[in-house]
Amino acid sequence: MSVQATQQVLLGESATGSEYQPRGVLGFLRDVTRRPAGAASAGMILLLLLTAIFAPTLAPYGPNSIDVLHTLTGPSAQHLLGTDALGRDNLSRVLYGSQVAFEVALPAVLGAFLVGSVLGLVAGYLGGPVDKVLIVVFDALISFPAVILGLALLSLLGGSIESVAFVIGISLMPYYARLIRAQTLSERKNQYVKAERSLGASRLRVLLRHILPNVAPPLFVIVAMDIPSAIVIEAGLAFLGVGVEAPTPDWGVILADGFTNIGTSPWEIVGPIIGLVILATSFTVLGETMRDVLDPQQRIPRRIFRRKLAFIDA
Amino acid sequence: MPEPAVAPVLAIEDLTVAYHTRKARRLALDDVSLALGHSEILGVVGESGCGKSTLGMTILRLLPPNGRIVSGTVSLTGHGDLQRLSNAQMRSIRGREIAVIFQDPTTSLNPRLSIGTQLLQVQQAHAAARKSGSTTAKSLRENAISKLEEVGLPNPSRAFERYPHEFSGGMRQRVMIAMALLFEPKVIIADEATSALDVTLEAQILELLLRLRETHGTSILFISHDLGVVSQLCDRVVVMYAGRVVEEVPGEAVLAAPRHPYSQALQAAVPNRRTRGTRLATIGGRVPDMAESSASCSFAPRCLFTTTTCTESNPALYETDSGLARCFAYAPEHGDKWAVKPSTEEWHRRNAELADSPGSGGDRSESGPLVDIGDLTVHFGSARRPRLSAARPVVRSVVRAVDGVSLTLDRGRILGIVGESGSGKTTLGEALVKLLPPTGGTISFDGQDVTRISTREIFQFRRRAQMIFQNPYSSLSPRMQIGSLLTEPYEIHRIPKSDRHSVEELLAAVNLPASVRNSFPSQLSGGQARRVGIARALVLEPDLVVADEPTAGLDASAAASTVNLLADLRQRMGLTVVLISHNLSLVTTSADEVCVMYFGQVVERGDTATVMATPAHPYTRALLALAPDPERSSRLERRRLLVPGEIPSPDSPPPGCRFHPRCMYAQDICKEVAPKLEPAGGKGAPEHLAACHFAEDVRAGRLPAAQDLGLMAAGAPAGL
Repeated sequence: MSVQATQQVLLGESATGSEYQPRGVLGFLRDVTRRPAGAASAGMILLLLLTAIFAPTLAPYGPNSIDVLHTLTGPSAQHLLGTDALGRDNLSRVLYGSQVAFEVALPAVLGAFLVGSVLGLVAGYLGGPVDKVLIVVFDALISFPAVILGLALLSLLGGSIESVAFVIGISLMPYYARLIRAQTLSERKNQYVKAERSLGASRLRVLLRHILPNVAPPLFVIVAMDIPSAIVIEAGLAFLGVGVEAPTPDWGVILADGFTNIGTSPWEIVGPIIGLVILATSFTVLGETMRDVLDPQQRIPRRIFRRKLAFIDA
Repeated sequence: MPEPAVAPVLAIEDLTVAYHTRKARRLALDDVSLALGHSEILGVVGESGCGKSTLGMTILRLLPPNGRIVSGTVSLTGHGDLQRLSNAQMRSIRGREIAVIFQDPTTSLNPRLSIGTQLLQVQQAHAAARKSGSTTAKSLRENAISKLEEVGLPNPSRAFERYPHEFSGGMRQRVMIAMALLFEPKVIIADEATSALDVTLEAQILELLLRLRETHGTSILFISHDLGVVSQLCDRVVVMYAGRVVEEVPGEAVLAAPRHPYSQALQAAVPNRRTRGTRLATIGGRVPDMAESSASCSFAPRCLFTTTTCTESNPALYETDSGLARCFAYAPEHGDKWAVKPSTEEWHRRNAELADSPGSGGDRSESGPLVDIGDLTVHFGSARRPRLSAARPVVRSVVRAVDGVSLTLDRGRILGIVGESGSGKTTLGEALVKLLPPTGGTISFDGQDVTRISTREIFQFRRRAQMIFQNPYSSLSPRMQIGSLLTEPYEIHRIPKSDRHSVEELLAAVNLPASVRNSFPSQLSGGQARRVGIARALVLEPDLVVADEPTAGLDASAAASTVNLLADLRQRMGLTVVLISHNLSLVTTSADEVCVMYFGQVVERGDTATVMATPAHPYTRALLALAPDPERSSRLERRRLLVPGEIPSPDSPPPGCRFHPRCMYAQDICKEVAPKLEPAGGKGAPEHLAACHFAEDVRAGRLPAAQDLGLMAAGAPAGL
C-alpha cells in the first residue's frame, strides 16, 4: 500500500469508489445523528447545553446564596445534593457550573479550530519562508506542556473565564494547525488544484472552496473529542487554584472545595463528577461516530491490504 | 497453435461467483469454464465490470469478504479442487504454484524495504511454512538475484540493494515479475500487468512473458482490457461479457476475425490505421448488473444485431470457423435468421447510422496560426539557489523536460503529440496553458507573447486556453457536486447570468444525463468523469484546448466515445486541440498533424497521413510497429522492431542524437552529432520534418544495417 493510501486510511479517506461524500455540514450532521450512538450522544450534549442555558430557571437556589444554618448536609428534599461548607446548594452550583464549562470550552476549542485552520492552510499552501516561520511558532507552543503554559500565562492574566479560555485555546491551536498544514500539503499536490488554477481561480478561492472542505472533516472529529478535554483542563486549572477563581460556581472550584471537606460530607463532589463523566463520554462518542461516518469500514484499503498480504505470505 | 493439453494445468469448471451487499447480490461470474494448458498463454478480455479480475481473485481464493463462490470448481494439477484446501495449504500455493503480477507496480512494492528484502521475505515465508532446512540465506539471495537477471534488470546484484523509488515504472514491473518467478510457478496470473506502461515498455514486458513461457513452460492467464495486446501475446483468448465467456478464439483471430458481436464491437472501438478520420464505433449502454443468471443473451440490449431470439432465450457456446461464440448467429438452428452475419465492418456501419451526424454550423475558423512556439525550453531544478546552511554547495542536476521545441498550430486543427512518458509531452502541454513557467523561448498565442504577461492578462488568457487533465478523478475537486463544478468557471470569470449555458445544456453537450448534476466525482464512471473534465474545459468556450491523455485508463468503448466527442466539439466550436497521448493509433485517428517527441525534443513532425505512411525517424517507425493492427500478424515483426531500454536519466542526455543508445540503426555519426529537425525530403510534403541523420533513407525504407543491441538487457537506464 502506498504511503498516501496509508495516510488516507488513517485520516478516514479512501482514494476511490465508496468515499464518503457529506452533502454539506448539515448533511454530515444528519448522517451522524442517524446512527444510534450519534443520536444518543448528540441528544445528551443538547440536554447539557439546555441545562447550561436554563440553569437560572432550573436551579432552586442562587449559586452563591449562603445558608449558614445548613452547612455540609447530605441530600434532602430542600437540597437534592446537599450543601457545602457555606451552606450553598450543591445542585444549584453544579447547574451554574455547566455554564462556566461551556463558556470556557466552546470558545477555546472553536477559536483554536478557526485560528489553527487558517494558519495551517496558509502555511501548507504558501510553503516557503511563511511555512517555516509558522512551523517554528507551532513547535514552540507545542513544546510547553499545556499545564505549565497555563500556569505561566494565568499568573499574568489572572483567572477570569476569558483568560482560561484563551490559555486552553492557545495550547490546542498548534496541534490543529499542524494537522491542517500536513493535510494541505498533500492535498495541494492533487491535480484538481492545478485544474482550478488553469481555470483562472485565485489562491483564496482554491484554498477556501476546494482545499478547506477536503482537509476540515477529519478535524471535526478531533474538535469534538477535544471539547471534553478542554473542560477537564479548565476544571483541573481551577482545582489547582490558577483557573477560574473561588466564588464562581465552577466544577473545578467545587471539586477543590469539596475535596477539603470530603471527610465530613462527600456529597459536594458528586455533582461535578457526574457532569464531567456525562460530558466527556457524550463528546467522545460523538467524535467516534463522526469518524465512523467519514470512514465507512475502510472497505477499499482493506482489500488492498488483503492482496498485498496474500502476496507476501504466499 | 498449441491446443489445450489433455490435462490442463488449471481448470475452471462451471464457476459462478456472486458479490453480496446489504441491498442486493450481484453475479460477477456466471457459469465460467476455462482450461489453461501447459505453457499456454490464455488471454481474458472485456470491459471493466465483466468479471475479469474476479476470475483471477477467485483462482487465488482472494475474493473480498462479500464475494462468494456459488458453484463450480477451480482445480490445479496436482492439488485438485483449490476450494477444499486449508488456508495454510492455499498460502503455500500462492506464489509457489500460482503467482500474480498486478497492474500498478508503483503501489505493489513496499517503499520502505529494499527490493532484495522484499524478494527474500517471500522466499523465507515459504521456507518457514515448509520447514525445509536446505534454504540458506545465501542460496535464497542467489535465487533472487538470478531471477532479477532473468527479467532483464541491469546489474541485478546492485539492484538487489536498491529501493523501489529508484526504479522506473517499467523496471518495477520487472521486479514484480521477478518476484512472481521466485519459485518458478506453474501458473502466472497477470492482471492488467502492462496497462500502466508505455507502448515500448509494454512491448518489452510482453516479450519477457513470452520468453519466460519458452524457458520455464509457465502457463500465463493474461487479463487485460486491451484487445491489441491480447491478440499479440496470447495463444488463445477468452472474451468475457457480464460474467460469461462469450467467445473463445485463437489469439490472432480476436483482432483479425472476431465472431461474437461484442468482440466485434470492442474491436471497432480500437483505433488503428484504417479508422483514420472516421468516427470510432462505440457500444451504447453499460455492462448490466445481474442478480441472477440472465434468461436471455446478456449482450442483447447493447447489440446491434439483436433479434427476437436473443431476447427470449439464452445462447450456448456455438462453434464458429475460428472458435466458439455465445451467439445465436452461429447456432445451426438459428443461423439463417441473420441475413448479414455479424462482422466488425457491419458493426461500424450500423453504429455510424445510429450516431447523428455532427452539425457543421458555428465554424469560426479564420486561418492563420493560433499558437506559435519558438525554441521553448522548460528546465526543472536549475533555479534553486544553494542553501545558506549547506556546508557543501548543493549540486542540482537540471532536468530538461522540454528542450528547444518549436511548433506552429493553425486554428481549428488538431495536433497530436506522441511520445513515451518522460518525453516531455505533458510538460509542453502545461507550459502551453501557462501552468508551468518556461525557462526560455517564446509562446505566442493569437499574436501575443504569453510568456511575459501580467497577472491580469494571464487571467484573461485562461479563458481562452484550457486543459483537459489526464486523471479525470483527481482533477475534479472531490467534495463538489458536478453541477457546481460545471458552473464554477462562470463564477471565477464573473460571466453574467444571461451569457451562461445551463448545467443541463453543458451536460448534454458531452452526452451526460442531467441526473448526474447532483453526483460527486467519485460516483461517476471513468468515462463519465472524463466527460465532466471535458465539459469543464469547454464551459468558457476557449480557443485552444490541450487534452492530456484523454483516453488513459478507459476501456475501448469509453475511449472511443471520448475521442468522437472531441472530434465533434472541434467541428462544432471550431476548437484548436492539442492532443497528448502515448497511443499513436489514437493520435493518428483524430489528429491533422502529428508531432513525435523524444527526450524533450521533437524528432518528427508533419501531416498525419504523411508521417503514418512514410515515417522518417526510427523512433516513429518503432512506435508505429508497436500499434496493434488487425491487418498484420504482428507478433514476429514486433520482436524485430522493439525499442530496447527506456528513456535515459533526464538529467544527463546522451551526446549526439538523443535516441542513439536505443536506435537499432545508429551509426558513428549519431553518437557525436545531434541531428537537426529538417525536411525529411518527401516530395509534396515540405512540412514533413524529422531529426535524424538518415531521415531520407528511413523514410524511403532504405534502412541501415540493424545492430544487435541485445534487445532486452542492453537498454539499461543511465541511472543504474
